[in-house]
Amino acid sequence: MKKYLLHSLIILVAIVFLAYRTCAQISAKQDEKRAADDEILSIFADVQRGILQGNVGLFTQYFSPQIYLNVQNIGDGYYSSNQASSLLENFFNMRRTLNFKLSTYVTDVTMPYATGGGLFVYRGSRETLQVYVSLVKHQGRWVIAQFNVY
Amino acid sequence: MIALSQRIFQFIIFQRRYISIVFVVLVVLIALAAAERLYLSSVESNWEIIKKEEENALREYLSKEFRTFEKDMVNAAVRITASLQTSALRPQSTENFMQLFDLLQRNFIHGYSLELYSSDKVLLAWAGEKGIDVETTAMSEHRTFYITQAPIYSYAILIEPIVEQESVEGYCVVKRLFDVNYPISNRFVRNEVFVNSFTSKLQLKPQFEFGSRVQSKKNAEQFIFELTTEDGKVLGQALVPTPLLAARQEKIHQTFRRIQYFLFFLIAVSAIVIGLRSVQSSTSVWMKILIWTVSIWLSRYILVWTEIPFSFIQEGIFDQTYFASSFGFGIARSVGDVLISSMCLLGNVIVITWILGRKLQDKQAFGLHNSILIAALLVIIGVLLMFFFRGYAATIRSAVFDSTFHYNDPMFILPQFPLAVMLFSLFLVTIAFVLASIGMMYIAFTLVGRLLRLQHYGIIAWLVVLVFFALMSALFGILHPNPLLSQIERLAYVALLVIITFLSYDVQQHRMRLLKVRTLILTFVVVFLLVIPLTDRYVRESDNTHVEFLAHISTQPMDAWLTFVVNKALSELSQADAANVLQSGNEMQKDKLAFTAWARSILSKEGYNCWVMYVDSSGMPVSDFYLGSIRHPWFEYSIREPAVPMPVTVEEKTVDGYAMKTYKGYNPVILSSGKTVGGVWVEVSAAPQFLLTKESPEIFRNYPTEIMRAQHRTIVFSEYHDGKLVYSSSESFPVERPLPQAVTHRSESGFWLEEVIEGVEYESYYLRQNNNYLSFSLEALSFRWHLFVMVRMVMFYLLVSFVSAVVVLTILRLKKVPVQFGVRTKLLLAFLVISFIPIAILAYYNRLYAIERIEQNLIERLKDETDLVAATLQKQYGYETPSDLDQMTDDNAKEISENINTDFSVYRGTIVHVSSKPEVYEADLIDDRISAGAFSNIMLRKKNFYNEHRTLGTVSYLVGYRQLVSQAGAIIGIVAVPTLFRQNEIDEEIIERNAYLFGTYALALMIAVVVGSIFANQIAAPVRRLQQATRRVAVGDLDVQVSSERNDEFGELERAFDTMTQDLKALQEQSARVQRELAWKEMAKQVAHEIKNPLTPIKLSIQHLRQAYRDGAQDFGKILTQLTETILTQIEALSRIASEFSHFARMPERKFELCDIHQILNEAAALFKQHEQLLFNFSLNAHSAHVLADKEELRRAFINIIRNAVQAMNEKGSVSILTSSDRQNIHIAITDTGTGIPEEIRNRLFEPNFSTKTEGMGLGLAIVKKTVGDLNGTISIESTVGTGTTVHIRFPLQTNILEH
Repeated sequence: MKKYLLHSLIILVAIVFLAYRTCAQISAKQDEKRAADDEILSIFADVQRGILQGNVGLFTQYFSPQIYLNVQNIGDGYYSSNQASSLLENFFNMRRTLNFKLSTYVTDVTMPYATGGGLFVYRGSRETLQVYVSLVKHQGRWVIAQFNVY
Repeated sequence: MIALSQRIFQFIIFQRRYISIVFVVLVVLIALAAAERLYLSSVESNWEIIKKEEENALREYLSKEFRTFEKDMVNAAVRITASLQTSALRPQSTENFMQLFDLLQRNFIHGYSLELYSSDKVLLAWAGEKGIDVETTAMSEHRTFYITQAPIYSYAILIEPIVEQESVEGYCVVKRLFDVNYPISNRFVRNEVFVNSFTSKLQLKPQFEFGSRVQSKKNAEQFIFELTTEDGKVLGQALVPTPLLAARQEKIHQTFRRIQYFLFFLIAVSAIVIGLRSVQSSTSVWMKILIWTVSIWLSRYILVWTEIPFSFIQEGIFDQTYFASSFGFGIARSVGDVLISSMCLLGNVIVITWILGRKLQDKQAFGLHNSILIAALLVIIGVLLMFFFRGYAATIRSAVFDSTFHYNDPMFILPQFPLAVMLFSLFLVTIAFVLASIGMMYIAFTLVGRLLRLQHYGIIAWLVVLVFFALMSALFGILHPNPLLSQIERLAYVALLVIITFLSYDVQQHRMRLLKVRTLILTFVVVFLLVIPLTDRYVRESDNTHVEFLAHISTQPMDAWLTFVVNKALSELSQADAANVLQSGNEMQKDKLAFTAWARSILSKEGYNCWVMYVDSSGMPVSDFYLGSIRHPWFEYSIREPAVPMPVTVEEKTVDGYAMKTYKGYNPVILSSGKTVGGVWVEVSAAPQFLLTKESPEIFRNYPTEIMRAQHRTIVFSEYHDGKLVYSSSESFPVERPLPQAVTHRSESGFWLEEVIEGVEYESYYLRQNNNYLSFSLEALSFRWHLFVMVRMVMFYLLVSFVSAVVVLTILRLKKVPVQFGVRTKLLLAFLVISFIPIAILAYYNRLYAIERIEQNLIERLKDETDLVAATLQKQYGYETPSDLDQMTDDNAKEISENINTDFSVYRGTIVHVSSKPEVYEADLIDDRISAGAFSNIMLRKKNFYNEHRTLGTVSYLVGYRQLVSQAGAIIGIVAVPTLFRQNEIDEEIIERNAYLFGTYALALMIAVVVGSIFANQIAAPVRRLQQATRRVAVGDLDVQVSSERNDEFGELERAFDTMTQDLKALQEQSARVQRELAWKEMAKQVAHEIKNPLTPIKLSIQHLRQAYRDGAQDFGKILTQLTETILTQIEALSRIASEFSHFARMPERKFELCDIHQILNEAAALFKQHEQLLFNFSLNAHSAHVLADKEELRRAFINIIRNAVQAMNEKGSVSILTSSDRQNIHIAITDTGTGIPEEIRNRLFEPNFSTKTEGMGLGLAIVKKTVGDLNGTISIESTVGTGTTVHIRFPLQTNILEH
C-alpha cells in the first residue's frame, strides 16, 4: 500500500512538474509572441508617426540592409538602406502630409505587414497615397524589407 | 579692455565693407519675414478671389495650348492635301500607291500618324503608327476633329476632306498622341504626348474625359474646363485640380525661403571672405588651417542647407536613384553632391598640405624635445591614419552599395555620365586621401627622426616608420571589429605610402617635393591601386550581398502579401469606371478593359504574374489580360452569382509538371446606382519553379532580368531534391546533377561555394531548406574580365587626368603663368599623341565597322530566320490563298516558335494575323498594322526581304520582313521577325566584342607608352646631361665631363662640350694665374701702403726715443711713456690691418642652410639695442623669407649695414627695416635717418679700401657686396643728403636658388 502510495505520489509530482513546465513553456512562448507583436506594432507606429510628421528618420532606422522600394516617380527595385532612406526623405520632404493612418495590420505571419493611406499636398495639388510596409526577421530583429507607396 | 576695444574697432574698420553687407542682409531678412507673414494672411483673407483668378489663368493656358495643338495638326493636313493631286486618290497601279506612300513619308512629322483614304473610305497609304482605327463614319465633307482613347494612349484625330469641285475625292487623316493612360512610366511607352508637355510646366496633371466618358461633375476638388475646337465644337472636358490654399501658401513659403536662402548664402559668403582676409594677417599656421578648413566646409554646408543646386535640379547627377547616402548631413545625397564634397575635401587637403608643408620646411617647426610627447604624437598619427583608411574604404563601399550603378558594365567602354561623375569623385577623394596620408607619414618620419636623435633621415628612419605603421595596422585590426580593409590590404597601402614619402623626401634639402615627376607618377599609381581594386572588390561584395538577400527573400512565405495584393487589385479593378465600361462602353473599350484596368492597378505596379478577367452580369467573359502566367479556359471562371464577392483563396496545383500556387479572388462590379453589371476575377500565381516553398514572387516581377542580375551577371537559380538537381533556370546545368559533396558537409543554412559546372566556374550561394537545397550561382569572373575592368578604369582615369591637365594648363596660360616642360616630357607627350591618335581613329572606325558587322550579321540572321519561318509555315500548312491563313492561331504560332526558337508574326493584308507573342499586340505596345515601309517594299515593290529599325518607346530594334508565298507563287502574307526579344543575345555580343577589342587597344596603347617612354628617355638623356653639365659650368665647375660612346650628333655634341670645358679650364687656369699675380701685386701695394702709414710714426718715435736717450733728456721717462704709447698704438693699427686683410682674403667654407631672413634681421638689430637714443622700426611683410645661405655670413653682412646706419646717425635716430616678397624674390630695405651720402662718393662705396670713416679699412661694404652677390642677390644704395640712406638688398627665394 505504502509502495503504491509512494508510486502514486511520485507520478503525481512528475505530472505536476511536467504540467508546470508545459505551462511555463506556453507562457514563455506567449510572452515571446507578445514581445514580438509589440516590437512589430511599435515599428508600424513609428512608420505612421514618421510619415505624419514628415520625418522619415523615425522609421528608416528599421530598414534592412537591402530593401525593396516601389515608390511613385522613383521606380521599383532593391536599394541599400542608406539610399532608400535618402530617397524616401526626399519623397516626403516634397510633400506636405495632411493626414495619414496605417489602417490594416497583419502581425501573425512570417512577413508581417501594415497598410494605410493618407492625403498629401504635392506641387499644389491634393494627392492620395497608399503605403504598404512589410517586415522580415533579420539577425534576430524585425526590419523593414519592403516599402511601397502607390 | 581698451586694447581689446581698439582691436575690435580696427577689425571693424578693416572689414567694414563686408560687415555692412552682412548688416544690410540681416535687415532685409527681418523685413522679408514680416512681408511673408503679411502676404500669407492677405492671401488667406482674399483666397476666394485669388482662387478664381488662378482657375481662369489655368483655363486660358489650357485653351491656348490646345488651340496650338489643333492648329499644328490642321497645318500638317493642309500641307499634304495641297501637294496632292486628287487623281492620285484613285490609284490604278502599284506605282500610284507607291507615290502616295512617298508623299506621306516626305510630310511625316515625328509623333504624328498620317493616312490617306479614298472617297469610299478605303485606306490607300499611311506613315507612322496606326495607334487607333479612325472612325470612318466621322468622314464627311467637313473637317472633323475628335479625341479618342486607346488602351495605352489617347489620340487626337483630324479628318480633312480632300475636295475638288465640291466633290469629296478622299480624306487625309492626321493622328497625334494626346495623353498616355498607362500609369507606369517605362522605356516601352512613349512620353511625347500633348498632356505631358504642359503638365511639366504647370506641375499638375489634369484628367480628360471624351465622348461617352464625359460624366464627371464639378466638385470641391476639381473644376471642369471644356475643350473646344477652333469652330466651337466641344470635344470633352479637362478635370483640373482646384487650387488649394495650403498649396498656394506652400508655394509662397517656398519662394520666400529661396530668397532667404540666397540672402543667407550672401551672409555666409561675406563671413567666409572676412575669415579669409583675416588669414592673411594671421601669423599662426594652425589658425590659417582652421580658418581655411572652416571656410571650405562652411561653404559646402551652406550649399547643402540652402539646397543648392538640389532644389533646382533633381535629374542627371542629382538623381538620387543613381546614388544617395545620408552620410555627413546631406553632403553625399546624390552623385552631384559627392562631386562637390570631394572637390571640397581635396581643396581642404591641398590647403593644409600647402600651409603645413611650408611650416615643416623649418627643421625647428616642432619645438619638441620631450620623447614621451613625441611618442604620444606618433601614436595619435598612427591611429588617425588607420581611421583614414577605414573612412576611405567606407567611402568606396558606400559608393558601390548605396548606388544602382553597374560599375563594371561592359556594354560601354566609357561609363555613362552619372557613373563617370561618381568615378571622378572617387578619384578626387583618393587623391585627397593619398595626399593626406603622405603628409601624415612625413610628420611621423620627422618625429621618428627627432625621437631617435637622427642627424640624417636615412633608410633607418623610414624602416622604423614602416614597422611602426605596420604595428599600428595590426593593432587596429585587432581592436576594431570592422576595419573594412583586410590586414594585408592595410599593410600593402602603408608600404606604398611609406615608399612614396621616402621618394618625395629630398635628403639634401630636408623637405618634401611632391611635385617631382617620379613622385607624381608613383602617387597616381597608388591612387589607381587604391581605387580600382577596392571598387572591384566592393562590387563583388555587393553582388554577393544582393544574391544572399534575394535568396532569403525568395524563400519567405508570401501568402499574406499576395493575398493583400489580390484584395487590393480586386478593389481597384471593380471601381466605377470599369462598371461604366461594362454598362455602356463600346466593343473596343470592353475588349481592352482588362488590360486598361490592369495597367492602372497594383498588379502592373508590382509586375506579378497574373490574370485579370471581366465577366458580364450573366457571368460570361468580356475581357481578359494575362502576364507571364498560364491562361486558363474561360469556363473555369464562369460564375453563377456575379453579385456575390468571393474571398481570396490559395490553391496549389501542378501545371506542366511544375507545382504552382495561385491566389484567386472575385469581386462584383457595381454601378454607382447599386446595379451589378458584372464582375472581375484576379489571379496571381507564384513561382511554379520552386518546389521547396512554392512561393517566390520576387523572381516573377515584370523585369526579371533586372532583378535577377548582380551587376552584369545573371543569377542562375537551381533546386536540389534528394541530392539531385531537379530544376535550374540555366539550360547548361545538367538535370539530375548530383549535389556537390562539399555542400552536404556544411552545417550552416546558407554559404558560398566555388564549383565548376560543365566546364564553367561558378560562385554559388547554397541555401538549405530541411534536406533540400536552393543554389544561386554567379559565373566566376575570369582573369581576362578583371584585366578588362582594370584597364577600362585606368584608361578612364588617364583620360580624366589628361582633360584636367589640359584645363589647368589652359588656365595657367590665360593667366600668363609660365609653364615649361622638359625635353623628355615633351617628347613623351608627342609620342603619346602620335600613338594615341591613330589608335583612337582605328578604334572608332573599328567600332563603327563592328556595329555595322553586328547589324549585317543580324540582318543575315533575320533573312535566314524569316526564310525558316516562311518555309516551316508553308511545309506545315501548305497555304494557297490568303484565306487559308485563317486556319492558323496564336497557339500554332507559339508552337512553331518554340520548335524553331524564333518569335515571329504573320501579317495578312496590313494587319497582324497571328503572333507568337500576341500579348504585346493585345496590350497595344506594338502596332498591329504593318509599317508603311514594310508594306510598300514587300507588297508594292515586291521585294522578297526587307528590314527596318522600329522603336518601342525609347527602345530601338530591328525587324525583318519576308513574303509568305503560296506554292503557286502568289504573296499571301508577310512574315515578320523582330530582334526585340533577343536583346540580351545582342548585348552579350557587344559586351564580348568590347572586352576583346578594348583589351587589344589598351595593350597597343600601353606598348606605345612604354616604347615612347624609352625613346623619349634615350633622346632626352644627352640633352639632360648637357643641361646639367652646363649648370655646373655656370657655377664654375669646369671639371665636368659628359663623354659618351654615342656615334650620332648627340655624341658629337657631348664630345665637343667636353673639349670646350677642357679648353675653358685651361684658359681659366691661365687667366687665374694672371689675375692672381695682379692681385698679389695690388695686394702688395696696398699692404705696403697701409703698413707704411703706421711704420712712419713708429720709426719717428723710435728715432725720437733714441735721440732723447742720447741727449739724456730729463723727462726721458715721460717721453718714453708717450712714445711707447704711440708705438703700441701703431703696432695695434698694424695688427688690425693684418687682421682686416686676412679677413678679406679668407674664403672659409660656407655652410649652407635654410635661413630665415626675418630672424637674422631681428638678431642683428638686437646687437644695437644698448643705444638708448636709437629706434628700430620693423615691417617684415615678406610672405616667404627663407633663403639658402651661410647664416653667420649673412648675419655679419646685416650687422655691417646696420652698424653703418647707426654710425651715420651718430647713434641717434631711427632705423627702419622692411621686407617684402614676390613670387621669386625677397626684398630688404634698411633705412637710416642719418646725414646721407654725397653723390660723388656714392659710386665708390663698394670699392675695397674706400671709407669715409677715420677708422677701419673700408672693406665692410665690399664684403657685404661679395656675400650678396654670391647668393645671386643684388645690393644698391639710395641716399639723400640730409635725409638719410636706404640700402636695398634683393635675394632670390629658396626655390630659385635650388634650381641654380
